[in-house]
Amino acid sequence: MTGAPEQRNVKLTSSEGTEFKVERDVAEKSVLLKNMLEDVGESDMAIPLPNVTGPILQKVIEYCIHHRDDPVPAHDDDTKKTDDIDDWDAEFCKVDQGTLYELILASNYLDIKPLLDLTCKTVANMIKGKSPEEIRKTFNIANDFTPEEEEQVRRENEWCEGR
Amino acid sequence: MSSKLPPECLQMIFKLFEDDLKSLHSCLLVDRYWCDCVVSTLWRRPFELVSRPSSGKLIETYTHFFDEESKKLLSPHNIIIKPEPIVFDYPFFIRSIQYHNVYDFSSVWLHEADCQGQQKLSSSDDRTNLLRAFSKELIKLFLKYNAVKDLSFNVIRFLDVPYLPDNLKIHNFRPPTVPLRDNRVKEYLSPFHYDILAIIRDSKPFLTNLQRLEIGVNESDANIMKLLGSSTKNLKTLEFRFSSESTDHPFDFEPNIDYMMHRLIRNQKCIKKVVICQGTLHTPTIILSLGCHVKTLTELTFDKVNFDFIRSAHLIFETISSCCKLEKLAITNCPGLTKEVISPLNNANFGHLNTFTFIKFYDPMDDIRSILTRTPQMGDQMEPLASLISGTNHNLQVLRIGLSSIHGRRLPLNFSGTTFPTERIMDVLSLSCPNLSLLEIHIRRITFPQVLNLLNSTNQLSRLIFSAESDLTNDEDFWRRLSMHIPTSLQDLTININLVFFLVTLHRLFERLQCNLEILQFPMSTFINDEYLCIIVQYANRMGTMKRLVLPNDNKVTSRGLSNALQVIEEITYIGENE
Repeated sequence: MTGAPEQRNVKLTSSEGTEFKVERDVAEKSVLLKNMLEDVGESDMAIPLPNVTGPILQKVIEYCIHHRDDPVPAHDDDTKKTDDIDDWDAEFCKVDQGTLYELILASNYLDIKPLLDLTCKTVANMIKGKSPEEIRKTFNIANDFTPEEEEQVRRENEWCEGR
Repeated sequence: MSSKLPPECLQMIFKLFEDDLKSLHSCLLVDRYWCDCVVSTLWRRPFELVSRPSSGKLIETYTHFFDEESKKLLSPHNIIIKPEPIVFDYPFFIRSIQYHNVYDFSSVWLHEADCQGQQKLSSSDDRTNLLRAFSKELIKLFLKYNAVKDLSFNVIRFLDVPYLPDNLKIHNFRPPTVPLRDNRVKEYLSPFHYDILAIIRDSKPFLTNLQRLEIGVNESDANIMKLLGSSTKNLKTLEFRFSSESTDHPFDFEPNIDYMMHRLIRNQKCIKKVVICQGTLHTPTIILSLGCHVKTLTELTFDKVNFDFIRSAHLIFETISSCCKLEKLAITNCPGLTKEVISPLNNANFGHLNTFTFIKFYDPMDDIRSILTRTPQMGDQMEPLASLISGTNHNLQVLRIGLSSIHGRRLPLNFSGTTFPTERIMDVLSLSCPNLSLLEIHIRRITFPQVLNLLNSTNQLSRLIFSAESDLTNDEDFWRRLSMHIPTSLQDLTININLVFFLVTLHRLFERLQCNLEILQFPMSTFINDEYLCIIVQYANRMGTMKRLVLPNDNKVTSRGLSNALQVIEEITYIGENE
């Protein structure tokens, strides 16, 4: 009987130069890495990821390991629902806003659609139902509209109000 | 923090609540950066976001974008547009337009502008003509950006809902209601069709990005079809909604409308979704024209097509059965689906089908006839459905098998002895559908054990809609056994029963129910009063998960009963008879 072929590890280097070893199927959850590995073929060279810091890459790898057996998502998957986050994913996203922000950027850069969806849904849930002032407070954003600008945008979009 | 996210990520987040107007509007006013990022999502489908025109403010913003030519065309109608600087180029963002929405929203704007003295309409103006001219210019304005993907020209909606009692602002601008007879209908619709023809002719170069087209088809539409056929090629979704009057007066149709529909379909590169509503006489042409798209079609819907009047109707089902990529098939309220007609489904291989709806048109005469003649009953003629379901490779996630009467209105169900769905179909269901998330079923006494088997076989059912034969509605054992077999995964239960059932039966249902329902719906049970509500509240109190209860508009609940219930259930909504 033939067992499953042994997987080669893939080396990844974070922006600070920290090296991570991951199994190939885990790395291939990233479309960017999958395409790179297919182009490069067998190689012991570490793949540099200058846009991803070590702690964030660690989190991304943790996510990819947990979801390594998930089917590849279809392109037109309906991902609009924001209330379908399972318990593990919800726990995974319990991080400070800076980390969540870095995870969105990393999953966008590495092209890991399920992680991008998850992190975007988490941010969407932080926004939903809030007033502009509450959103500013949640994300520590300063209102840079002039009163005149704000008034004009409000007037042109008055149709949204009172619904 | 997230103001630093790149625009594409922020826009991805906004798309997650693109139907949530309040949140999108809040994001617009956060700061300049968020405003720039969210505006395209907010203005992408504004008419659908608002859904009902109650103010003219949306149209007011759009009016500032009319070019000089449009202003010149509108000024003889006394519509004067004053120039005003605008922050964003809002019409640039729109991707979805419906003629009927533009018309109705514009009528509210014009009504308000007239009342506020911003427009001065004279009493002698023909308001319908004026609104038509305005709507035409507005749609041309939207189309000229060549970015619209979703377009609906379905003024037959005006016939279906000619009078909106709660919105006189709209009603004042609609043409006078006409008796729905042949020539008057033609008279009613033809000015709109003339305008639609003009819009398409003027905007022809800007229709190349269209992906979805809904057309309300009437007897004079051959020219519209012809123009659309020559100006679109990337349509993925085509919806034909015929007026019921046209079906009754087949000889009013221009003879070449079928040819033009054929050309329209053939000119598209890759059609994925087709909806046919009514249009019995044209269904063969549409389906046979789809022959070149059978490898790409993923969704097919037939509603109110009368197969009794279609010669060689089985050929339609031959084409359907060759659509090997089909993911959704819905056949609702269609008379004439005999075993012979649907027999080609025996050979169908729908390995990708995840949604199947078959709401059988119920003719009480079928059952009477079967008893008198002792010929196979209506239900026995449906075995092709069993073959179809067994060929879905356990992929079905949504299955709706029920009965309807004329005009799609649900049956009163105060009859017994119906023979659909058959035992044969039910046998197959319990073996072939383990992955259902939604099930709609009509329960007969004879098939009840199989329904229980089906419920046992599912592992992720979250929504159940059921109706039941009249002799089951007060059978305590039926409710008790049903409740024992309802899977724990269920979150939404709809009970489509309008015959009064005893209070005790509701007790029987709830005492053994193990699932944590979030939504409970009784859309037809007008007899529900405070006593019934009290039992529902007791269940809701015990489970602590109930978010919404849906009752029919004309229920018997008092305001006191309602206020008690609202202490336990988050929301109680009402549903109209035909909704």
